[in-house]
Amino acid sequence: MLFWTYWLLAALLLALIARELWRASEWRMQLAAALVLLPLLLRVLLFK
Amino acid sequence: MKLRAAIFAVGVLSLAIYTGLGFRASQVDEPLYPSPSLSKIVRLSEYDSRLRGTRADTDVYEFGEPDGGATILVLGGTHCDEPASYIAAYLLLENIEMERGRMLIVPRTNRSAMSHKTIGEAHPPTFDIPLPNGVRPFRMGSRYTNPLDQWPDPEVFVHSPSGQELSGADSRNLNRSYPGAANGNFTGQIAFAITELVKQEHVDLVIDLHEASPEYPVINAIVAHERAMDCASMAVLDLQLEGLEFALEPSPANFRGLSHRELGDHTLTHATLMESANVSQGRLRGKTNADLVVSGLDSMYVRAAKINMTRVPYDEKGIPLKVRVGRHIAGFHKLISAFSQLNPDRAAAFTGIPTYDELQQHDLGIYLDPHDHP
Amino acid sequence: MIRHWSLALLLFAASVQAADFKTPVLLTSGGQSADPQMIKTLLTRENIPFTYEPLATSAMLAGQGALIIVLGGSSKGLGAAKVSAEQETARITELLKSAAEQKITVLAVHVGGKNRRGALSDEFNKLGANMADEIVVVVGGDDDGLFKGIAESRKVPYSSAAKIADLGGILRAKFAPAQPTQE
Repeated sequence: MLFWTYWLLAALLLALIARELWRASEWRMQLAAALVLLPLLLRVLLFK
Repeated sequence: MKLRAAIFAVGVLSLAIYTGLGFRASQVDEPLYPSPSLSKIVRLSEYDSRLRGTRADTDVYEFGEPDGGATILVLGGTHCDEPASYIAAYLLLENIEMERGRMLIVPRTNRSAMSHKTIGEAHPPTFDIPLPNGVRPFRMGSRYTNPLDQWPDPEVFVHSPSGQELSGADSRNLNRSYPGAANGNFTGQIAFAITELVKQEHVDLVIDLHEASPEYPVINAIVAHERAMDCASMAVLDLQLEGLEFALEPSPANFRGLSHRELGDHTLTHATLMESANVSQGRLRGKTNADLVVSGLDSMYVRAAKINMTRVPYDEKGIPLKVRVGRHIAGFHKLISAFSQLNPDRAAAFTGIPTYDELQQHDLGIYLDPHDHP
Repeated sequence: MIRHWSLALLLFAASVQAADFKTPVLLTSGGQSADPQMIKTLLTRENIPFTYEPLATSAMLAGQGALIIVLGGSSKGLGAAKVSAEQETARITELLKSAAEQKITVLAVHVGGKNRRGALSDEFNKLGANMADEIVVVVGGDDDGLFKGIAESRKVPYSSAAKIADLGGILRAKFAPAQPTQE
């Protein structure tokens, strides 16, 4: 139960940050968002 | 702007695929080649069905037949960042020929821990053992169950049934989770299955293989439950007669969750555990790579030994993997011979396993060569 | 030639210092480490009659020929035995005093090497060595000469063994001297 709660949180965060990557105008913000996406993506895909 | 975002997104995806494939590769078991003396392979989930289909379900290799001789259980890879532990178990299962008694070998006791690495340790994904023709790669894993299988950690890990409190990460430490509980967490289920295995197979002697950093006090040692003390002290004396320094350590009665304590208390087995010195686990180590795992040579430890900061002798020769595996194999020989002397009616006998000296002379690769097997 | 000299010296040393070791033996710990277990195994192998009680007190000395105390502290061992370092010190003092009063020979043995030297262990090491009739140390446990120094100042015999397994011969010589065989 707790596992899937955390997974949902990770998935939600992933979606929010992907949206941020898409919307941000400054390249630094976009790069930062991209870097944060990576571990969340691996987590949501249950690779790591 | 959108184009840039798309480029970044593609970059992230590529990186995710690249690293994801790496992580996936670490979840694939390397092949093992059991000796012809193998009678059967069962899965650990036979002893606790909840493990079926999970990353912790692991092979239990059985050699020999129930013939009145002792049943012995070897646990390798309880902590998968302690390579001598599982390489010794691999070597045993690829070479042993049982003559009397039964040998059960679980080479990846915490198989989930073999599927990832501990964050911050910089351990290499694999290391190579040289063979007569080529090399054989082996994975390096973690001390802990993969968080993909048990997540998140509690703030405080409360051991069941004792109520002992340890740090949250230890909830994923198999050797703090014995005897395990039917309704416990994932790691506790692995412990429970091993405890059930010991009970149902009437295991007489458990040998749990470990390594520890050279500055750790319990090192180059055999730890024994009270019931196994006579057997372990005989083994230690025999090892010393052969020039191998081993200390005898009693299993602490008030430190719960350890295999020797709980298997000794909750079953009728003689529970023992062995430790060798592994610099790639040590807190004083320098550069951490595959070479360090195999050579066991670290210049920082040479310096540390000079100022008496290590609990084992350490010099420019290092403590290579073949020495550490050799010590485990030597301890295996002596524990079984001591058990057999003390319990002649339940004696066990085997061949095919090198002595410490033979292993040092011929190197590990000779005994781990897959081409030698049918 | 040298060998003859050393033999003569040994015989001389034995003649002036030989402590009187009788059996049965009471084997105890001085610091609750697992080390006495090794001596227990050696005594068993050498067929020397003994009783092993890690927490022996003077009440157990009755009928004993000698006392072997294996020195070296273990915090885990003390914890497991549920005694504090102070309680252990008091027990050892009471036991060794009583042995001296009853003229029971005390052999202090240190087998744990460097691991059984240090603040916790040395408290028991010094206590035992200062009250024993003879001291045997396995190499590694006396690199700084603590035991040798105590033995010399108290004029009690001191010997060292290269490894624990070698103590078997030493114990046999003390407790089970070769009997003429009857065939």
